[in-house]
Amino acid sequence: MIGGGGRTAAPAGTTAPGPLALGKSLSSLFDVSGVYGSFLLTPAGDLAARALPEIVDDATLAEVGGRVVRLGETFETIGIDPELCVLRFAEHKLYVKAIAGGALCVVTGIDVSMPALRMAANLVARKVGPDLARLMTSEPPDGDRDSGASSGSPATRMYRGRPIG
Amino acid sequence: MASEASKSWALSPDSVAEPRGFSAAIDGGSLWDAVQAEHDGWGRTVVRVQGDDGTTGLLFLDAGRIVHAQSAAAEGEAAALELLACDSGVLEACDVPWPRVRTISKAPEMLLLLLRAATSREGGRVSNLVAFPGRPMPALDAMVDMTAEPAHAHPMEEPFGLVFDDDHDWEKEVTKPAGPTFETFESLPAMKEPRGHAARTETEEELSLPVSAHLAPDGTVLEATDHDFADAVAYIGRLSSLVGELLGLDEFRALECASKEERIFVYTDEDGGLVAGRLPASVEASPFRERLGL
Repeated sequence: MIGGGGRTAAPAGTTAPGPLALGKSLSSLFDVSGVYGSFLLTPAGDLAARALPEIVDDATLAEVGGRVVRLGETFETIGIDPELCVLRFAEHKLYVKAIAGGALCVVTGIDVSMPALRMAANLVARKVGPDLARLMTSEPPDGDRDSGASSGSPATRMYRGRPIG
Repeated sequence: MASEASKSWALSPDSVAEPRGFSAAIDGGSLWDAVQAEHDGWGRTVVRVQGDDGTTGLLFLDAGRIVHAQSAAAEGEAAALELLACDSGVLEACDVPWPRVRTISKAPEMLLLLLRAATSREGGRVSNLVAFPGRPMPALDAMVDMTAEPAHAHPMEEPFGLVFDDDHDWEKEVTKPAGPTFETFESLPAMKEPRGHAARTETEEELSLPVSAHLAPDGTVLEATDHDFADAVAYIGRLSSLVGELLGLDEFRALECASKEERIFVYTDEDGGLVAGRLPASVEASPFRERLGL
């Protein structure tokens, strides 16, 4: 259920957390009733960590990431610097919160308590934001590119949100 | 409102010979019923209203919807509500220049809801039912004679008592009211299902959200305060649908994007088009969120 992201672990000698640690932070969002899963995106839209059912693979989340980034860029073109975006679908919501070093995306049902989700997302953002920023500034070593925790089979192993191998 | 017996809409003598003239004689109905009875729901029609109470004006209908209205004292929704409030009088089809800008996006049923709410609140008086935010309407007794010749009336417009003010920024004035108000509509009665539309009824925020862009399902910009904004809204709608499809979240309905300064709401209307509005961050947005399911 809760897996690491497509991003590889931080190189040795740095304090940047791996995707597993980020994924663990995301798991706290499940305390809010109605939360189905969440994932972290880098500013480029790459998948950094995930806590989402395997039915949504990393490649799909990478595609989602690119579009979420373009969504944000589109808002910027009309003078909006988005901090929070809530998308409502027929039976779900996608909560996207801009955080330091990327974006936190949470998939929920429509009956989720938005105040509780906002609070939980704020706490998670506070926790993972700096870690995510550090992760983004650290270079992955060559030998470590595909050693990160994957959410699925080798076919879905990712690097910077892109399938590899 | 007048008694049921006194409500009647009669054929205009002038319009008898016109092929497009109405023959409206509604007993116990409303002006809108009369218009619906004669308008086939397709194409464009302009209806001149001459109410027995002295109200005069024009309703511009396109595909069964009122897209613009003009009375002696107001235009846009304000004028439409003023005209729809008439209990009796004469209707006639007429040929006048089509407005350059669509000033009304609400469905007729929603206008009637507004009308009903206003008349209920005012105990039958409708003089201030068009006091939209930031768009006060002059009192009825301050109405001017529409047939008075304006300084620069077009020769073709004069016979119809209509002069379009090309310099007047309708779009800005009509589509960007100062802010939302909901208290007026808190206890609206249920309306019958709109004719020719799906079961979805228009929501309260559609009454009050300052519409900055309205796009048809095919991407046609129906109204926009800024065409760049309309383009962005079209792309935002597309991206949102794609994100939903990828995640298995079907049918994009709405979104809210918040920054420190303002919020943008985008939602799909009953026709599948997109409507977007901007609100300052200082404006309470909970009613919008609630109605849009956000």
